[in-house]
Amino acid sequence: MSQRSSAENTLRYSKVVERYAHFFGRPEVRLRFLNNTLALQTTCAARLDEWLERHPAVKRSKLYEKHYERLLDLLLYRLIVQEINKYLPTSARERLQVLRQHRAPRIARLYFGFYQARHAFHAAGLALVALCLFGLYSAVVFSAHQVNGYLARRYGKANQTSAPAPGVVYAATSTSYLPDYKPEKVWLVERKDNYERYSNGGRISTEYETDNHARAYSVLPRGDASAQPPGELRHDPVGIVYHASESDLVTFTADNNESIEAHTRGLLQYVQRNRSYNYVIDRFGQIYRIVRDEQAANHAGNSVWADKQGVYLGLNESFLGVCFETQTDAHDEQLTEAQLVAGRLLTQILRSRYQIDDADCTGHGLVSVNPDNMRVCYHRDWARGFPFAALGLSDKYQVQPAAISDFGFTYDNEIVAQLGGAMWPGAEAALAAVNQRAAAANLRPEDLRRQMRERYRQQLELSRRLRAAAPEQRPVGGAPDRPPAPHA
Amino acid sequence: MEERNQEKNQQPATKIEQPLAKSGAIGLDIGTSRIVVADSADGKNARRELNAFVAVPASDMIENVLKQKQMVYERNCKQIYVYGNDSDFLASFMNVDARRPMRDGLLNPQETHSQHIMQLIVQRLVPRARRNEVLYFSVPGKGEGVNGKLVYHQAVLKNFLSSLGYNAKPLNEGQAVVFSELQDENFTGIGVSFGGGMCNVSVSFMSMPMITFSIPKGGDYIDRNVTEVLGEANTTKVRLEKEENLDLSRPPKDDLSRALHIYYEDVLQTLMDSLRAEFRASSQLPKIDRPMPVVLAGGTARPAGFLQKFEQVLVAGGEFPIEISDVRMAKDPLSATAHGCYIAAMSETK
Repeated sequence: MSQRSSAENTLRYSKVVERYAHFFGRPEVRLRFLNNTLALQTTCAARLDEWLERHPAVKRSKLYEKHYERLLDLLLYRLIVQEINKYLPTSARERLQVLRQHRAPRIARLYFGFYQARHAFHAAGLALVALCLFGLYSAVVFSAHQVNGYLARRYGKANQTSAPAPGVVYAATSTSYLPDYKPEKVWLVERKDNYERYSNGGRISTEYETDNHARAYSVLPRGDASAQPPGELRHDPVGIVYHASESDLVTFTADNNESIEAHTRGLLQYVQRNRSYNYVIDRFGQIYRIVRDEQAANHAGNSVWADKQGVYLGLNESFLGVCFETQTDAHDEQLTEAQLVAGRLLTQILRSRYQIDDADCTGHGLVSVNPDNMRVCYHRDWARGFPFAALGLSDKYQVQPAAISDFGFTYDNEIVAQLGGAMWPGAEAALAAVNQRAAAANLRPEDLRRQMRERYRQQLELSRRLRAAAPEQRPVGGAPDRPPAPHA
Repeated sequence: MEERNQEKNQQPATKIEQPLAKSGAIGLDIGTSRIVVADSADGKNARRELNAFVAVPASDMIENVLKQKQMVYERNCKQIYVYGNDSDFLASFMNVDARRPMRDGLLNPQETHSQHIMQLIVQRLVPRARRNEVLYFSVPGKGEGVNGKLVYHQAVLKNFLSSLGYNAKPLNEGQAVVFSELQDENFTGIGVSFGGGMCNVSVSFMSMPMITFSIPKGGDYIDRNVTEVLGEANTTKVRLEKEENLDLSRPPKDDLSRALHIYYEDVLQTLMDSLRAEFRASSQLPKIDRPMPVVLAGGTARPAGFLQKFEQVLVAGGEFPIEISDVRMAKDPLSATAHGCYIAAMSETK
């Protein structure tokens, strides 16, 4: 221990204080300075010791041994300067005179000079700190630009926004893509009897897995169907449609665990029986595969979506159906934190496995149509409020739906009211674009839409014919359209 | 006892109307032979009164004489007390020794009127306080036969001075000498006050007293013993010789001066022995890395050659526990203690 005895400390303090006592010519002021400074220093040292007693770890450290006396010296200098400032004359000239007249050591005068100029030092220090911060900020920004450039060069494909196909009219607002998504890096790690585990941490339960008929669909060209032949029959899923189960929910609290799980089991059994979705994500974030990926589930019978490759009608065949156990009009929460995480992981897995483009991940409410009255949004789940960003996807509410822009579907006031007073921006933009096109073609919008609806029927018929002709189609059963919302 | 009972019913013969003090601190040296007040920075205006009195039987004739001589006195039904500086004249006139309210540096237990007389003398010197001004008064250091009595002495004086409206605080006599004389050394050195009743010593480092003590030998000890060995009736002759003719730097020329030399040397030797012993016994002394000055003050240090005598005794004793830079006499030995008390009081006055 480097701590000295109190007598030695007193001697040391006294020597320091003594140098500054020469500033004071009057004996009583000098005496006051000496007494006050030494008494205050003793108090400070006692307080410091008391604090060290309360923090024995500090006292045991090497830092203490090394710097204890320096700290005391600093305290002493602070006290000295405070006391000097208290007793010296207030005017600068008189102070200077005192400093010259008395035999104060040069170092004492220098120290006092520093104290007098402390405000200037403070300002300079602040300026220096500001300069350092600015420099640091500039360096960080520069580095970020460099890293961004590197990532852009390396993952340019993933970061680029898909170019719209010819004839597809997207909304003016561009969709953004999250650059951290790297689908090619997710792989299957482990497959057991009742679950699969993936490299991104995703875990898919296969407990409720079942069969349906194999996928078979063709991508229809956008524009005039008679002018371009349909593409060949395809079997791989091209996109994901997100659904909400709209089933009964119990309050999401710990004491309801059993009820929550009972509801989930009822839902899973219903979905399995009806082959309603390819995947279900329960409220605890558990992912269940129901209908195998290569087989169509009955989740989006009458539905339309388009991407740069073409138009998809009846998305059961071409899109995977992922259902969240929730109600989209629930007041307090729509998805639990666990569901968000699981949804993001499942999206990564599916996009990685099937190279699904971000442009083909959408909500059921955005694709569902009613051919009887030619209205969009027949099913309204996720027609608003789907957390695309949280799932690593761009905002599809900005995309103009092909049902309106290509096939003349519309919406009415009832639908608008059900969606809370406004359609999603893409739907409004698509309707406005159709009206502009009608005006440009010198047609009434209704006439243009009639032509577009006729084309829809032709495309739908063509699509059905192609699917019916598919040799490997293996119907297992199930309804042609999505079943009504289950009530577990 | 009879006298005491009578005096319980005494009425003050004169009522002292005390003026109020100037606003400021006060230093008060309450010594065995003198009481000195300092209330200015230069110390030139120090006021002194002998701490003595002479009692004479009360009579109108004597009182008229005292009035004519404008002497300060107090009368009760039995006695007239002449006190302060006038007591010296009356004692010489009557060829008696003046009585002392204090003895050996403390209140004199053999004088029943000691407190009252001292209060009268102090009241002549110290006006009433205006705003609880700080007043430092000197007290002796601990020493042989002092320790228990010092508490009483200090408490009595403090109570009395507080009753005058002061924030009264005691200060060691030797330390007061340091404050008065060792400013340039930042109050580091040895202050010795040679008083009438005792000698007080303080070893101070940066205004902090490291060692303080007293020895029960002083001017009165010298006077009393010289008077006894020479068979004098009272101390007047010895005191006059000591104050007016004694030169300690020259060889004694008669029995009286020889006796004075002997007893002065005895006092100094006792002091030096005690100082060495205190240094040896003290375990809390910091390692003082510079020579310390010694400053001498007090009435007993006034005779010519005292400084040389002190240095002789110091050198004769061999190596001293600390290095001494120089030995010096206070600028005004009689008021140095009061001036030191004044500096201490001023240091606490904002």
